[in-house]
Parts: sequence; structure tokens; C-alpha cells
Amino acid sequence: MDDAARAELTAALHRIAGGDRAALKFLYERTGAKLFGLCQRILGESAAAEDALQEVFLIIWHKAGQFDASHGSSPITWLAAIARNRALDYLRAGKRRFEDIDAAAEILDTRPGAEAMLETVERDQRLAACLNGLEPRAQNAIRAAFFGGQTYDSLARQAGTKLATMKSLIRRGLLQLRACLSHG
Amino acid sequence: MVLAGEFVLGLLAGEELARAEADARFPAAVKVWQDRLMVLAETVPPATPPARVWAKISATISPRLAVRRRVWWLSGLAGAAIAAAVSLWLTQPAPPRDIATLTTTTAWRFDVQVSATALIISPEIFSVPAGKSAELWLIAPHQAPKPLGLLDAHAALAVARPHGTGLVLAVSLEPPGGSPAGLPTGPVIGEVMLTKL
Repeated sequence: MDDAARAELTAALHRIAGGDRAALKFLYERTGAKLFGLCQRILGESAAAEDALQEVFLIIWHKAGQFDASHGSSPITWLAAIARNRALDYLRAGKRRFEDIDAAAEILDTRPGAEAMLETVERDQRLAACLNGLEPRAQNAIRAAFFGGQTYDSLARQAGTKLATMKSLIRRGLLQLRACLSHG
Repeated sequence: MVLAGEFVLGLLAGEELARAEADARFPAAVKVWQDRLMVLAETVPPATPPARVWAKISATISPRLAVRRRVWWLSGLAGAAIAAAVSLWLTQPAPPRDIATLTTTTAWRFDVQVSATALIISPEIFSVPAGKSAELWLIAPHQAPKPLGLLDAHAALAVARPHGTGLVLAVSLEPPGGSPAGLPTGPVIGEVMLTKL
């Protein structure tokens, strides 16, 4: 996301905090498809994904005032975190059946090409490059946790490894990610 | 602090989670990891949501008639034809009368009033619960509950006046925006039977 788009979304969030419904509509038009894609990634193409998206925007309507751009927060990161949390809540509440093995295998797939959809900010590109630099098993496990709301237990079971192995795989991956980012 | 990264991934539980949360540096570390990992969300292709999603959001955030106890006058106007509106100059509709008080197990209280055309539910003591909506239902004898709308701490809710005996008003706690099912999904926390309408 470029700086102009970021400023536009930040301004919209401020107006929403003041009760501006047109600003919510604007935000929905700009980010609804992105956030719906995220809800669907977590919940599948289901009524639950629609319900989650609806609730996401009602949460935004009530909590826009809590967004704080002064610490360099990105509005889209803030919005995506709300959408991911809400969709995972739905997933955990069993509003969608838990991943069967085939669907889980799909989640464990790497998704080449998807990264091409990244926004063009340098920071985001670096993050993506660092993620892609992780060993595939670690990258897959991190993705499965991020999108699947899974536990260490279920990740280990699916990958056919021991719990301790899964923990160290993910911890190593996160450390590697951090190191990669700080060396930019 | 790699624990914060595990937390953002939703992998921390039990003792590990308690230990992490006891650390004063934890919240800041979570924020940093949130920024790092949320780039994963950016890798998801967008999908256009169906139009009904915005329609529901829009309906939920629409401003309601905000002036308590003057709602009856407006609702009278809304339903009236031009001729009737003219006659309003001569004879305004009778003011609404109190017919019931609806209280809940959460110690909320609502005045229920009826006018010639409207049923008006006004919050006396009520705060919108965090992360929930309070939804009002009308239940006729032997029928499924009918949603009347979401209760708002700052505005009266006016609906078309129902008719009948044994009508019950009920309040349930629902996800934000109200029950997605058209029927109560959360606990019913209060109800009152109305006198014959």
C-alpha cells in the first residue's frame, strides 16, 4: 500500500470514529474485498465468511477511534488483524466444521503466485521475501497456524512429527524471520 | 521475543501464555510481531463480497429516531397520507401511553409505550454490551419470535404497532449486528407480556 492510500484509510478511520457513515462505506469499498478474501481463506466460501465480514465492519464502526496511526501503525494491518481474529473466532466456535484432512493439506500447500499479489511497499516486499526464505516446512506450519487457528498439537499431527519438533520448527522459523527483517 | 510471535499465531496456551503475559515487554512485542506476520494476510487474493453484506451493515448502522418520546409524533406522520397530515394541524394524534416495563436479568429497564400506530421501546437503564448486540423480539402465541430490531442506549426503537393478545416482548444477547439466523441465538435475558393491543 502506498503512502497516499494509507493516509486515505487513516483519514476514513478518523471520520468513522466521529460517526461518519459515508466514511464507513468508503472504507468498505476500498478494503471489503481484501478483508472478505481473508475471511474466506479462513472460513471457506461460506455464509460464516459473510457473517464474519459483516461483524468486522460493525466492529470497525464502533472501534475506529482505537486505531492509532501515531506509532506508524498501518491501517490495513489493523483492519486485517480484526478480520483475522473475527474469522478465527468463528472457526473456533465451530460455525464451520474443522478442516478435514484434505482441506488441511491444502492449507499446508505453499501457494506460489499468491505472493505476487503483495502490495508494493518496500517493507511488505521484504517481509514476503523473508517469509519465502524460510525452509518450506516452517513456512507451511506458520501459514497453517495463521490461517487455520491450529494448535501445536494439531500442526504436529498433520505434519506427522513430534510436538517438540513442531515447536522448534516454528520457533526457529520465527527467529529466522526476525533476523532476516533486521538485516533488511 | 519469539513468544510474542507464537502468541500472534495463536499457538501459546497454558503456562507459556501466562508466563508471556506476566512480562511487561510482552504487549509491545506482540504489536511488532503482529506487523510482521500480518503480511501473510496480504498474500490472500481479494474476493468481492455479495451486495447483501453491505446492505446488512448499512441497515445496522442507520440512525434511528433519536428523540425520545417525540417518536410517536413522527411515526404518526410517516404513516399518514397528505390529507391526514393536513388534519394533524387540527387534531394531533393522542400521545403514546405507557403499557409495560421490560426488565432484564442484566438489570436493564425499558419503557414500552403504544400509540395509535407504533410500539415504542425507550431505554431507561441500558448500556450496549461490549462485543454483543441486544436484540428485541416479538413473540405471538404459538409463533416463532419475530426480530424487531437492535436496542440502542441512545435512541428509542419504534416499530409498527402489533395487534393481538398474549404478545410477548423479549430481549436476547446476540453477536454484533444481531442474530444472523432471524431467530434468537443467544440467551433470552428478559421478557414481558403485553396487555391486549
